[in-house]
Amino acid sequence: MSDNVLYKAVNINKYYLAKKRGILESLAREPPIYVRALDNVSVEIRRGEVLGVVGESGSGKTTLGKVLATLEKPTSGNLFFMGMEVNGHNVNHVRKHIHMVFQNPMTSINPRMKVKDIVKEAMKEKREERIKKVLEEVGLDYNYVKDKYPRELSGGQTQRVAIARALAKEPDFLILDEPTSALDASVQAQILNLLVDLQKERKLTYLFITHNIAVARYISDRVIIMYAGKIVEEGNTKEVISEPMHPYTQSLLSSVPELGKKELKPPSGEVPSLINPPSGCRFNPRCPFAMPICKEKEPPLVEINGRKVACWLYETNWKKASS
Amino acid sequence: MVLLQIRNLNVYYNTIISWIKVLSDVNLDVEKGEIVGVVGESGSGKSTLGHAISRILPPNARIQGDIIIDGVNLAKLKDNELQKYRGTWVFMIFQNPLNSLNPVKKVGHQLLEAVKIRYQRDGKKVEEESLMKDVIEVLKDLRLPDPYSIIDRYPHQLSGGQVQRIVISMALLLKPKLLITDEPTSALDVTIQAQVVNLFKQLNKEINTSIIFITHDISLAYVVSDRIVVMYAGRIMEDGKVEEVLKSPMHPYTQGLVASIPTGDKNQKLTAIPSNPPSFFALPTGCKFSNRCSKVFDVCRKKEPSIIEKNGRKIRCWLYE
Repeated sequence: MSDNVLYKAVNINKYYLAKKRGILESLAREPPIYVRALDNVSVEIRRGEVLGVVGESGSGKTTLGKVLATLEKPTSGNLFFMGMEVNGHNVNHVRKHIHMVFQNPMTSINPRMKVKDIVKEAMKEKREERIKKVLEEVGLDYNYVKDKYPRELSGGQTQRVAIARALAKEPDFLILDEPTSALDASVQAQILNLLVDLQKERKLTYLFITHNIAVARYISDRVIIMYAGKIVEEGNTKEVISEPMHPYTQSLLSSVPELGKKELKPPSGEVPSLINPPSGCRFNPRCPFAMPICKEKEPPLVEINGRKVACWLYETNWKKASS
Repeated sequence: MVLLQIRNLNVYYNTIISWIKVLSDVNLDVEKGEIVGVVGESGSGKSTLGHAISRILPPNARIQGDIIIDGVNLAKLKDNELQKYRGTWVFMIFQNPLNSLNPVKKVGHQLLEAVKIRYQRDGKKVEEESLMKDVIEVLKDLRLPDPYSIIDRYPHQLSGGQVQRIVISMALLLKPKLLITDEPTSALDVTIQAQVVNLFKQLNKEINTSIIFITHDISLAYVVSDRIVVMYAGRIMEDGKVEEVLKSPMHPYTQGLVASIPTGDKNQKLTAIPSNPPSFFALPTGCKFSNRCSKVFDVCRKKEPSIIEKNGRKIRCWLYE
């Protein structure tokens, strides 16, 4: 692989136990019930890009973020950070380069620490001017916020503190999990501008997890569409959003409200349970183009002209591409 | 025909520090069969407006002004008189539908209660069994899978989208004159949101209910509503046809809101409104938006503009006086 790849995840599976399994269950040999949050997911993140991850709740987008942040250990599969396999020995080293920013800053920063201490804690050299520089970089007035507690700040300001703390560590790779969902529209625009500026200045790589397609379209270079623990489509953001190939992406896009669009055309039904997902393609019960093969076999994620799609509709295109 | 008339509505909350005015001088007319979108950021008073109309404000609130539906002034009624207007006159749907259903009663039982109330108020006497048919009919209309098993379940056994649909089916059964929905889809996924929004539109067409659609999502308000009301700091800032207001916003606040919707890619900077929405304890004097406004001039900081009508639109801004 080229050196351009910063982070590579290969065939990641993440299963959670759906029910507590105690000694009685093991003795009775009850089969464990798993929630398949991620099923055979492979991702490549290139240096300096913003990779958007879009999906509904329960699609596994946050789990993917947590696995990449090494907060969760995958059930199986391998992670390669800068070409080096992540294992128990070097995980601490890898974590120095990765930081995660969560949706609700109020629950991810310590409410009993002052703002300057929150930022200081993450720093290598704990000098005041460095703290000041980082806080000013995220658009906060240092003298105003330094002695404040998180509860004294507004939602947008606390999210800025969370971003400042992430930057204090000087990471190469930031995982942003719905960083603007809890904010008002006008404040969301401020934070998005800040994130874009920071990414350009510091040449950061982002994994941007969101359910908001307008935000994903704005910030990301490439985008991954997830459905029920699988990647269904992957490609250049502009191409995916202007010409969605997978039926799920198509129906997702036609459910998004936009100025100038009066009619919404959502798919019928709901997101399936991950405990026992539908056989074959996981979208088949809701898919308007479902064929017999969709119920029987799961479509692989295949590359066609730089885009990756997992759908049987494009089967003929695969053959062309391979021959 | 005008269904709802709100005249000079003020709502105050009593707090430890002082009385604060959270709705100030709200005047709003809603036509029969019209969908009015109410948008604004958190703390703009949009939910308080909904709660005031359905008269479910907390005990520390005081209400001033008139809320007239079909000749009845809801603002002046006592609590015990209000009871017969709830449900069939004004029906409110909340963000978290689980809070509006009884967790220990089966869904079918609660829906049956709604139909009974409907028939009682119409003065009809009907057998309970035929009422159940109504319930099933409505659930089928909403395309809920397997309605016979759903009525035998408790609210916690259903998914978020299903519970919201149960609440909407309750509205369908009660056929209210005015439906107030307070962020009904914020807790739902995009595809489920689109399904629910289409239901509201269907409800509006079929039984000609007027809807006040409260949301923070301007794009969603555009899809749903005929008219849009933009609120800021407890005041109506702009009020007009949805196409006109969102395509050519007049008030600087509306302009800021529309511009902060992400479009295009990251090479185009978003024009965000600077700083944060104000606190009700420290509102600026003069125009309440003056401290964040890009077009602010002297008079804005001194005197608050009144709401004026211009080109069929209502607007509260010194730029247009």
